[in-house]
Amino acid sequence: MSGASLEFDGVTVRYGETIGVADVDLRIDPGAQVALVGPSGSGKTTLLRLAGAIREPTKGRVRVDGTDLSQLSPKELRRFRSTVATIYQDLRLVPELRVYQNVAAVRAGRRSFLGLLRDLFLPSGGSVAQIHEILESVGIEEKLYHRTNQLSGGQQQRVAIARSLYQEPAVLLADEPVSSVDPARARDVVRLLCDAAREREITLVMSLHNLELARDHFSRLVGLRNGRVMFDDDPSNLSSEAFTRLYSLTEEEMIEQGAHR
Amino acid sequence: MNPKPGSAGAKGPRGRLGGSTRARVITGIFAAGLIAAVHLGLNPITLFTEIRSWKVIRDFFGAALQPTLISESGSELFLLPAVLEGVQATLVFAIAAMSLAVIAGLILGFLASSVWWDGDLVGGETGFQRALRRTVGPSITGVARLFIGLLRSVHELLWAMMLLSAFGLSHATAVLAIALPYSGILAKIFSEMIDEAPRGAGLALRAAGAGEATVLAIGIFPRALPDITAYALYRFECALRSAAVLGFFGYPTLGYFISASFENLYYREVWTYLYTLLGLIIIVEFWSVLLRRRHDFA
Ligand SMILES: Nc1ncnc2c1ncn2[C@@H]1O[C@H](COP(=O)(O)OP(=O)(O)OP(=O)(O)O)[C@@H](O)[C@H]1O
Ligand SMILES: [Mg+2]
Repeated sequence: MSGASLEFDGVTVRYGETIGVADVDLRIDPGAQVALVGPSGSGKTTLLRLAGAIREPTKGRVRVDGTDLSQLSPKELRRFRSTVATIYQDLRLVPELRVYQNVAAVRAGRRSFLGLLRDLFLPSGGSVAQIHEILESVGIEEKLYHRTNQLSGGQQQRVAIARSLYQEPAVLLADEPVSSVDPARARDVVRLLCDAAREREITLVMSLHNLELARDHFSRLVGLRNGRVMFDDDPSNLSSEAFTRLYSLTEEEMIEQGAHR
Repeated sequence: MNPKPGSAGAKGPRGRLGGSTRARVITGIFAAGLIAAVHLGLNPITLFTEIRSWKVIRDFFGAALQPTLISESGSELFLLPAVLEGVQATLVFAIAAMSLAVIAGLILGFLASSVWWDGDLVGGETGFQRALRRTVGPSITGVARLFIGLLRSVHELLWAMMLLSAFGLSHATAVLAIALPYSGILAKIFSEMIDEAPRGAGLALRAAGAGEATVLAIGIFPRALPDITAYALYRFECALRSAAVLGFFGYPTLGYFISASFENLYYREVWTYLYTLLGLIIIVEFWSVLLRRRHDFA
């Protein structure tokens, strides 16, 4: 499966009074790789949740490969979600299950319930071989049958990556996938994700707190602040002031911080 | 000796109280205990001054260090067959009752939890289906909780008395007498464990297009399973004691032999049976620790 295009068209999300994202216009081509950067609360997660059809916009349209997500029936929505893989900062694996079970479970969207139970508890040689191959590509094939909670944090993260690839998605969303690993491993993981997505022509959208990583691995950065797009460009075109402005504290925040001192 | 129905045991609702609230609750519990003691006229001194027979106490505890395998009746009767019969009956009743109670507890506990109708875990249906779920779901949960409360509020000895008067001294009566209240206790705790299980993995499966059954069975249930297993094992220990006590009604469990020996004042025999029960419970405890360690539940 090759990548899908993503289109945000005047998208606003409100959580009650709070603004999640405001009036966002974005177009992401099939197979493109985009990093979302911006301070805490700027709307990165919200944007990813919109792309995965986990949340509906309060205003505006989200289109994937030209299909307006708000027009999907519940059944179509499930099928759509099975084509979008997400990597979470907190991984969201089932630690009590074995590694291959965690990976296999992600195809739930394309399996009947009983079919999935069979994949998990009486797996066929073919599906195990496939999972083994994917684990090999992330360097943990020897953990295939281990209980997931017996793996280190970094290894578990590779399980999460393997899981997202086994889903064979058209879009891969990664929400701060490296904020809990050390700097050297963070670089490895980002490179691994970028390479895997490129190889499979998957559209990749990754939110990152680490600007250096974003600049080094992505040719397109989208800067968010207070739910608005501040810039959307190749990092070589972005001045250091642009980044300073993106992360600078607002007057309110400075007053708040002063009050805490 | 008897397990208290409704006691949360090892795993109750976990720390939701803030510091000062907790202090107030603890003070309240102590105050309530004191008031109850005064009301009942409990006095630790009269406990000793009003003892009817020091001899019984001395004889009974004196026999603690001399359990016997030869009957004290003087007939040279070997006690081992009786011990084994008591152990076997105690085990069989406890296992049968717990098997029923775990199945019923899982079903009732699931219905009494809110995972299957509340929040982001389920959904992805039409507006009508969603409305149906949000009205029917809480009602079923309410009924399940009421039913669980009814089962729990009657002690297994009371269940035994009621069932005995209705059905007589059959094996099913004893099994049900334990299984009914235990179903309620297990269901209550299981439902809390299911509701409190981390939901991230379930949400992730849902985001990948999984249906509700998968989200609940693969994303949520395995996360609650270690707690559920540990609690069921603890309750199995309680069920052994309950089964033993049912011997007082005439079932051939350890309680039957204990009461028979007690009536004859054969205290050394009583201790044999008591130590047997203790050994049984220690073995179960050991086994559950082993099981938990093997499955990395700890
Ligand atoms: N479920 C929610 N309910 C209410 N407000 C929310 C919710 N999710 C996000 N928000 C608010 O929406 C805004 C954007 O949040 P979002 O999580 O998208 O930011 P983010 O860029 O991912 O931040 P971080 O870098 O800290 O993860 C924030 O002000 C946040 O408080
Ligand atoms: Mg976020």
